[in-house]
Amino acid sequence: MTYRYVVYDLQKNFNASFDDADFTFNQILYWVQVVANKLRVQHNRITNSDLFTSTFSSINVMIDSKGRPYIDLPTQIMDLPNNSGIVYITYNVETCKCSGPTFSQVWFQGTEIGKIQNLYLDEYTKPSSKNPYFYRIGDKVDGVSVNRIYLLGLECINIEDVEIAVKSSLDPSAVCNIDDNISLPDELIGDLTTQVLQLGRFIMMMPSESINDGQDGSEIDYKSQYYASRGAQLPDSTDTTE
Amino acid sequence: MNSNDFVSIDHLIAEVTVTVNDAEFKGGFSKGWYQSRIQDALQELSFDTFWLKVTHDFVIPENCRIPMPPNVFNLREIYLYSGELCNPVNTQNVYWKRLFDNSYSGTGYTSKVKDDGSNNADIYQPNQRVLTHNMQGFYGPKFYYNISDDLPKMIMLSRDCLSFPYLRIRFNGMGVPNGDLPIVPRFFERAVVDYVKMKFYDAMKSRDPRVYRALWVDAKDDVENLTTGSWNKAKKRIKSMDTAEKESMEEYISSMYHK
Repeated sequence: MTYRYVVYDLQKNFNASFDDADFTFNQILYWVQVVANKLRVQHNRITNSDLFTSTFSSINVMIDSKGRPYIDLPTQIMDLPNNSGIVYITYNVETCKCSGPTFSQVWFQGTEIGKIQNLYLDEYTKPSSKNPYFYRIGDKVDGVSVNRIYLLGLECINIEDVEIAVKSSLDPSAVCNIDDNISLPDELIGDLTTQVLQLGRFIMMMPSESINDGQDGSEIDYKSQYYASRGAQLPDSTDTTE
Repeated sequence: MNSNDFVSIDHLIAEVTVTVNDAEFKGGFSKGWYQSRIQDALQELSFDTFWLKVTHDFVIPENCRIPMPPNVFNLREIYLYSGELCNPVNTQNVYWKRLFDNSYSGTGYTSKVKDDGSNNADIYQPNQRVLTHNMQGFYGPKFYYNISDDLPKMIMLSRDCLSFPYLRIRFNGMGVPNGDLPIVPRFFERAVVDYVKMKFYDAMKSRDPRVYRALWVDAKDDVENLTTGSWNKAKKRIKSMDTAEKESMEEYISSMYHK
């Protein structure tokens, strides 16, 4: 199902319901991407299939100012438990010129930056070039925004690039071609349409009282204003209805 | 039973990680953690069954003190021999002597009862040197050893052992040194897999007790149940004699040559 088909369909639906609404094509396209991202994560949680997996066969390894090797994530990834948005990272056999079969197909294990010290305490878990690890720094390094994967255990060898597979998410601001397929299984397009329509409906149905028109037209309801006071809740003494 | 078949670490890890749903090493622990637990399992099996026997040959040093090799825990046999290193010609058994200590330089030693039978003037004991003298039996070389109490652990040999150039010792080993990949006999495959599985759930209990405690109890039963548990089965298997050994033993004990 292409973006063009779905977005025009949604736009037509919106115009049918709210004929004076001014939803632009790009705005709906953006909503489609936002909702599609959410559906992808939900769907992945159910199936855990590789439908949303992308591979990148040659990502350059760089060294930061502290001498630590890292790679920049080639795309934004799903933030899944235990970094499972990263499916695998391996040494790249084709371009890395690894010196024999020992280093080929070496597989990086995921870890977290806070657990690294513990890894060094056991001979079997200690990071090394044969037993390397990766950890993610997703926010900032020394105040600079980054989206990095650091590689641990490669300190003593020189490695040019790695292969990586990730479960990627969509960038809502970048749709290159509206004739591309929406990367969702077709059975989820129905959910996508419903959720985008709800978004639009929510915006259009916003009650008028919530709109600040600069006038104080409200009437003070003294009774409910003081409802917390028990005195105000009591029936009037002059009330003789009972 | 004896066998020269072993299973690889990866073979075991492949089974365990799928069983505990951690094939990607993301739900639980790193691959090294599993290797470490396999090593633990073999170590425990070694202490329980003495399955691994290791032979070491040494040139006897001047000071009669040999550091205990790493990764061994139980001394089984100790021989002096002449000939070439690792190729014995004349051999002599070495016996253990209580409280013998030749720290630190070797040939001199202390012991509550000396090897000539004297007892350092213990007034409540007969002087054994005199007795032994009378019996005319104490002369000749005396080959004995003890293990030092201080660290590092030393095998201490009596001075007379220097009349032989080489020493052979048979130990029980503890699997492999920490950090080396363990060697797992096939008899132990089930026990090791179950042990690692149990340790996984044990460790995961602190993350989610409600889920993992039940699994841990099941896994513990798989290992430790006295009749069906894999640990006990492994112990029985490795301790049982080969059929040939058993038949030879029967023939020997019965002294009846009709079997």
